[in-house]
Amino acid sequence: MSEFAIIILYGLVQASIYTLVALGLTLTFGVTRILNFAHGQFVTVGAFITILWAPSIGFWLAALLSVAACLVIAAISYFGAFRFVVGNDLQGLALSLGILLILQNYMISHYTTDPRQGPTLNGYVLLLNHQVAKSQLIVLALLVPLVPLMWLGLRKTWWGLSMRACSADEFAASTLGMSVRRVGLYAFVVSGALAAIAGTAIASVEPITPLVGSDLLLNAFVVVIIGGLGSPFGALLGAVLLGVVTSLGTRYFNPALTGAYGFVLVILILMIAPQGLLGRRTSRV
Amino acid sequence: MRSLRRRMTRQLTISSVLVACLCLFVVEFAPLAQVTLINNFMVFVALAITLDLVVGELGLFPAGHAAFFGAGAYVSVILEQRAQWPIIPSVLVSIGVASALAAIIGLPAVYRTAGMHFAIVSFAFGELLILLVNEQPNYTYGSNGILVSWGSGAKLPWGQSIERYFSVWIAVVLLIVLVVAVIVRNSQLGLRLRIIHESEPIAKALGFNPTWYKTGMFVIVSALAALVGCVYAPAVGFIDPSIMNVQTTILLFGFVVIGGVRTLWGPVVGVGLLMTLPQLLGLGSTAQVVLVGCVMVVVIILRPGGIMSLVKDGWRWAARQRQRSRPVADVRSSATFAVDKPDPAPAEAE
Repeated sequence: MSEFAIIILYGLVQASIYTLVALGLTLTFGVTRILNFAHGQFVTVGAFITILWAPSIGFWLAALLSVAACLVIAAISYFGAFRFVVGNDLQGLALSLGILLILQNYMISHYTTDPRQGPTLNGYVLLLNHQVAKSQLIVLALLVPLVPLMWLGLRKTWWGLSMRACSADEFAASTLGMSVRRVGLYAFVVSGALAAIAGTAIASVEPITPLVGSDLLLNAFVVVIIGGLGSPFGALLGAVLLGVVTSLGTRYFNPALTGAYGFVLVILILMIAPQGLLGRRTSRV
Repeated sequence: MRSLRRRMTRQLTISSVLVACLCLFVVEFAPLAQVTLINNFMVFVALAITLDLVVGELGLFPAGHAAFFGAGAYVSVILEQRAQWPIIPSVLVSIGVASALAAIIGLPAVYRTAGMHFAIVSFAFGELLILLVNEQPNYTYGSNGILVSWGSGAKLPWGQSIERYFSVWIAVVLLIVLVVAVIVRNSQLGLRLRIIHESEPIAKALGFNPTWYKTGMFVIVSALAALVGCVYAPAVGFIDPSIMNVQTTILLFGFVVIGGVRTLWGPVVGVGLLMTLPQLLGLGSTAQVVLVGCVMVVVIILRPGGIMSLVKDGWRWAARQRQRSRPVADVRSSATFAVDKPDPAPAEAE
């Protein structure tokens, strides 16, 4: 029983990272209709800034720096590129794929694919008769409060409300003075910041390579399909589901097939609820 | 319909002449160093055209397209080498496997969901196939890849070297792909696909089911990709999981977008300018990928129609200039003259 609880705990750590990545993805998609394949690269950049700067200026400053940098990168990519293709899904896709190619290959050629160890806290804590890495617990403790914070932000702040309004009904939002292009900037900035936090979190629990963002992106895609594309609360639900299922499957079935569990989950969900668990049930016209 | 049929005949003639010329050039005249380059060119053109059939006609992006290409190569090579099957049945079975996989994935993915779900599901499926290849080292040798022994050491017809021999087969496959693309675009099926792309409720109201057409196109395209994989593997002599990875699909998509979506010659131009030309100039593979990314971003921002739309605009502009310089009485005859003129695109593609 205690082992089961620990496995669930590990699943939740993964789920909290997935939530952050998937939330950014789903927010930008909801507002601008762009499926941002380059989102994973924001995570990679965030993780690398934390790792490269932490030895010289300390972990917390490096984390802040990475959030700021990703925010700026997201804003620049929005102003320079994504702004022109808002609302056109295929062009947005092509644009994000182009940016993915540039960033990923630049990172690989510059930093190689050797795994790098982040500023990890070594040491274990005895929990329910099991050794749990301290870093995992800290990531969980830091990310869990972020979720209600995001929830509050989406419910109560002007930015959150405008993002939800634009993704619910672009036309109605525009009659109330919210231009999708401006709200799209909010979505990109927020998603950049979330990606940086996710990158910092993953850098402090496991060694990373420039491909870390792409792997996380695949999981985030699975999460948004499960939860419903464009639905922030669906992203949370999907992330918890995916994290727990993956972690249970790895322990009790076959550890080699870690990537496959999410996919099976997606196919099942598509059979039962094609729009995702919390997706909009409107008919497409 | 008549203009469609006329365009179909024209495009079929041009593409078969072009492929025949290219084939003759590779077999007889090209130096051996460039045979591989041209083989790669033909393979990627064929793949890009198949990708464009789904992207352009239906607005769906199959992010796992390269995975089907790799699956075709793997299945045929494994059947031929491990199970000692003859060549033709192993190719047929590999195409059948790819079609079945595509149907299994395509049906739930396009059924009642919006376009972006399809991109994600096929992306995840491609990753799953790579995982499968990596986790079955007994059959696939995992990430080490397989050496393809097919045809090596055997006495080949026409006394050709092995690369040149397979370039004939690649050219045949390229021709098949071109013919399928031309027929799909200029037939009743193409018109129906366009209606589905514009509005699915209208398609339903006209009495045909969009789900079947979308799944069907995805199956056809995946089967063609598998066929390309079957001839690619022996021509290169070595396959590993990196050919099926999503970066290959993204590159293909880049070629299509840069060349021009929904055109027959766009993929040809894209692959020629951004893959074969840099390789000819000796650019490294990373630099090449970054180049594709940069050009892709610039093209999408400045000219979403790609290079072919530029060519078309240029042609129209030239026609207008010609018309303006003529006396007024000649306008009608010059207009009919312009209609009957063959498309300028093939000359550009060459």
